[in-house]
Amino acid sequence: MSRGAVEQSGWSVRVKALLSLGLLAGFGAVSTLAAWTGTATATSDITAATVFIAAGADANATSASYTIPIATANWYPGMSQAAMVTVKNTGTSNVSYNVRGAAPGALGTAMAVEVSKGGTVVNGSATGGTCSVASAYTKAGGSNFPPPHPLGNLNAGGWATFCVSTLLPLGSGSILQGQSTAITLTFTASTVP
Amino acid sequence: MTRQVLRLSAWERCLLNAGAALGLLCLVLAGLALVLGLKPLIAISGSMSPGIPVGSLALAMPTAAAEVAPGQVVSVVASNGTRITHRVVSADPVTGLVLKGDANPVADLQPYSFGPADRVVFSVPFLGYVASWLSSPWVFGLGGLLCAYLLYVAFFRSDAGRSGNVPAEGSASDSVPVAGAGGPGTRRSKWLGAGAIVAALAVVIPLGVVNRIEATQAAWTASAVASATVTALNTEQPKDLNCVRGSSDTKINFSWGAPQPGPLPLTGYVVRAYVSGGSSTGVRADTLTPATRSVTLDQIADNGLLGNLLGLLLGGLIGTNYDYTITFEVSAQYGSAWVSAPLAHHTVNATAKGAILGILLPTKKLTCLMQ
Repeated sequence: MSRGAVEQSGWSVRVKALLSLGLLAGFGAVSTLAAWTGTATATSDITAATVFIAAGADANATSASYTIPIATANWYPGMSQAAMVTVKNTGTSNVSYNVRGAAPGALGTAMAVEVSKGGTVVNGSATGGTCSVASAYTKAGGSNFPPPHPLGNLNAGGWATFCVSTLLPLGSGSILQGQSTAITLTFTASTVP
Repeated sequence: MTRQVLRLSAWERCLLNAGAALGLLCLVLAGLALVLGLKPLIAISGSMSPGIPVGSLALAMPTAAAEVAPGQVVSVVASNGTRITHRVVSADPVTGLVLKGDANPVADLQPYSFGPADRVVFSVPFLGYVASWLSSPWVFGLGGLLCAYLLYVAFFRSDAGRSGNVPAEGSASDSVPVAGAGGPGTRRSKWLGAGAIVAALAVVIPLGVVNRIEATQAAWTASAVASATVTALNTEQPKDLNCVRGSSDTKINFSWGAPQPGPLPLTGYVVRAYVSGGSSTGVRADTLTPATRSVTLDQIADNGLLGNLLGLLLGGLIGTNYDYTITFEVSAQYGSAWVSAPLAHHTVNATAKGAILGILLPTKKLTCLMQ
């Protein structure tokens, strides 16, 4: 017997050698991970990337809240206002995003709101402001906002502009006098795989 | 009888033991996963932290749709093929499965389709990194080499299958896979070894494929809000409501000034009369044109505002004595039928007293102030 060598039962050695093949089951389990992520080392896909989205007047937006610059007081039936809102992806991931509107109360229900992708404000300073392009997400006067509307993808650092127009329709009830509502558009972003 | 022995160096023994232990672990885990239907998942993003941080290995168990309840952490495949592992906010056949990452302020963009999901029963931080690291080709290659080497040592090395001259300690019932001595035994051993390896591979490889680990997003969400608070105007009231005695004791004249012009066009005035403090006795109202800024109340006229009100109150009874305090109001009316708050005069006094001819011909009087 050579020095350092140990004699072992052949039976035990062979069973152990066959058992070691079990490793292949483990490798089989993890191998598809690499296939799934499309890279050799999936570790690179385990990231701590986060998502941030901002709303503002232009592409320099950094804040998560923005006040749409429309007239706030003295709304009356037939009055409309429009303003631009820029939504910017300020995070490090590409995101897909959507918009969801809310306008509580009787005045909120009565108001008509349209959100168009792009476009410009027409007649912005007067009380008859509208948007130049067709609405993508519409709340009709007297009804609630529809469910969240998908707006596609926004790459990291990218932004998109929206024209928001609001109208208190003719014929809205006299009971609305003096009432207030907060028209809120929430843009929600989620990571794109 | 002889018993077959193999000569192994110390490090070969270590490799063999380590390989067997790890292999057995893999087999046991894979077998358990297969029997229980467990699905291993690696969290590749961190919106479920701190519960399930990035790089966790989670085990998920298939769960029927009816058993998915709010509060559970489930893993579902989104319509774009991405696997998402988030906490259930609500599960409803109509609205679908609403999920939200623990670290996310808002729920996921779209509800997922309602149906069976994989419920996360267990997760271990950082083990996902290990599993992920194991998937790299060089680790795979190294493991393959280890297996190949161990098989070579066990079955094919020149001393494998050769009988050592060790006296049999057990009886003949000791099952030794390969017994015998010399050339024929060695060849038999190698054939048997090859067969055993093929059989083992046939079990192990499908087991590995079935139990494949999936990467799961715990997708981050964030939101931004653009908002505006708007307030509707209060329409302007008429101004300076004035009450004077009319051309006889039964008449008074009201007049008022036009309201301050606003954005809405003035379409007229609404005048009302009702018993002060009384709510259920009825209100009579008339609409006047924008140019009309005065009105005469006459206690005698049957078809006037006040006459109609009194007719309503008295129910057509003639000769009854009465003493009513009447409120007169005027509001401005605008486009879209927006009506201003009223300008009111609360002390119109309408009386009928049988002073001279008794109750048959009472004296009627209308005054701007209480008598």
